[in-house]
Amino acid sequence: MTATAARRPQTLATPRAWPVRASDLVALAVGNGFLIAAMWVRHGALDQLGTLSGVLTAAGQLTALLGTYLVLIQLVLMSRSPWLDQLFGVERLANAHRWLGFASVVLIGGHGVLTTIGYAMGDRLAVTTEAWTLLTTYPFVLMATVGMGLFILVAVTSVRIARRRLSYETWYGLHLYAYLAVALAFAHQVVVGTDFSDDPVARIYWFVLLGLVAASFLAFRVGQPVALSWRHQLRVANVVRESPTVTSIYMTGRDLDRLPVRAGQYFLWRFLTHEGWWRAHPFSLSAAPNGDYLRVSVKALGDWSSRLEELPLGTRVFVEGPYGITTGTPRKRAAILLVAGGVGITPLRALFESVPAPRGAITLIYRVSAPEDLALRRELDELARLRGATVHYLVGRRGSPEMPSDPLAPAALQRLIPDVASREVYVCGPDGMIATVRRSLQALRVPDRHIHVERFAY
Amino acid sequence: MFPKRGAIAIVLTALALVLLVSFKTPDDFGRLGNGRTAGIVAPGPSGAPGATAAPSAGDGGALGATGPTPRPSAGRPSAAPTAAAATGQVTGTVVETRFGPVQVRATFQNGRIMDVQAVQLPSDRARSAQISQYAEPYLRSEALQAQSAQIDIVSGATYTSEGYARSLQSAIDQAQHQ
Repeated sequence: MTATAARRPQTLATPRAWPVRASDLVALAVGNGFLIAAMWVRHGALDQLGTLSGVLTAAGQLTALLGTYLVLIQLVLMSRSPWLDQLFGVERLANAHRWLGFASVVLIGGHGVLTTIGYAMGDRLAVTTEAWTLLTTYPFVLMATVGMGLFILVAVTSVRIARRRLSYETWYGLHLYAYLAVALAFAHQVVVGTDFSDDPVARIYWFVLLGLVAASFLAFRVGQPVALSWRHQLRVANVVRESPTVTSIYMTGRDLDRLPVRAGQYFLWRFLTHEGWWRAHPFSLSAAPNGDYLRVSVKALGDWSSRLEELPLGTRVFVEGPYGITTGTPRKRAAILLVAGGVGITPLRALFESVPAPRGAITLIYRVSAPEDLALRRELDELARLRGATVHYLVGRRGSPEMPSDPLAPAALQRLIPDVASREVYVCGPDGMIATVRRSLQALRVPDRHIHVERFAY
Repeated sequence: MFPKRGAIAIVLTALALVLLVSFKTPDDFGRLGNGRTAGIVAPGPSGAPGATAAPSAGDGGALGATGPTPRPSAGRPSAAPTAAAATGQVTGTVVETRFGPVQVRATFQNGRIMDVQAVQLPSDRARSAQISQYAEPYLRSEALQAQSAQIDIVSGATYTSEGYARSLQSAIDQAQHQ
């Protein structure tokens, strides 16, 4: 089975385009934020500002509302809705998630502190006494406090220093507690929360908001993947070693020509074996979709990715996706430069095969540090011949005798691709390489809107 | 294999959740009379003339909390309509509640309670003031109807109601001993 031989008699399904604009979504999010602040004002927040205790209580109320609102936005971001993915791309969504996440934890923590101190001052009680009263006699406040603790746990384990010390699995497992935290905090909002407990309109609004978030989350994180996986019944058809470190997995299934995906995109794959079902792997398609099979190429990085080599043929596969916007369509410029680092070749390999472009208008730079890391070379050469494209293999460790200077530095890149400034550029690889390439491209005056980076899926 | 640590974490989390959910707060707190939370609710069925003004949906009932419920009477039981000749105004003692002092002044005519006015009600916080303002007419009309301090607690204003009843009781006691 070779990746390039497949011809396509039929038209293949592509992901639907969603008629949503980024500005609409931002306007919606900001508008809702103002609505929530207005609700806070309407419920008498400003009347409390006469005393310090009132100021703290009111501030505690506002931080609660806005912090919770940010958490809801987080849930929407993480629902991996295809329309969000299409508009912003995973990288920007993940960035937003990171900063909104920290902001929401600060707000929610602030709510706890401000409200306790504000109430304590109002009741003329010690803060510790008030805290005890709140925890033991206010309904669901203990529950919510545990939720707040979980939020803080999630945030702390996501701070870069902590993140580096934790395995991905531990970090991910702890991250799941954020969902529990959302659930735990809910009851106290509507029962104790000043804004909801005695304003039925506000309560209905809140329920609708939460309901929509939950519905979108369930639809895209559960419903869609289950439907897709059921419809296409994917199974492992072949496992092929491409290089000492890279292995390809071929999957076949039902009606693959109706599976909407483009070259350059990725799925989250779950191989349903006894030991691996609980892990979802973000792998790009390493061959353009062809209606006959799907292929991913995986580098053995940790114990789990080395084990993929031993996947039994026939293993069922569960997929979520497709995700990713480095599909090459639509784009502004005809000429394309693809820059791959290491196993970052996989999505670019698929693009190299199928991205629409005039003959001779595609160039691929494939950067690896050792010859044995070059995967899929034979295919790439064959595709280059078929499409009249060019491949530059840049092999060697930077600073070694055969590669004294960085071949991706501006001057070197300019020599290699003289017309780089007029190309649409797609980059995929390790973070360090992406940063180098981005700097070089900026130095060579390639506008940012023509630089497309795929960071998360290999 | 699903990681053992993960399985242990799930079991421990489930146990912790069970404990957390089974934690009960006192029944009438939070919803009632804490001055910041749920429920300004309609008064008990002894019904007040002003009942039409009651915001019926404010019962905080979203999560199965009960609707307006008559509460057992507050205050010490007292002898019904007061002794013979008491006439005039008597100010009850100041009752400190969680949310501030409560004090009432009762007007008697021949032992009958003709009027009850609040001298002090919790008003520190905006919410307390709001609740006091809301609860007072009900408490007053209940007292006038019952002709004693045996009045139903206004849901959403437990502490205030209790303070009101106790202060009123002290006023009645004083009137009887005049």
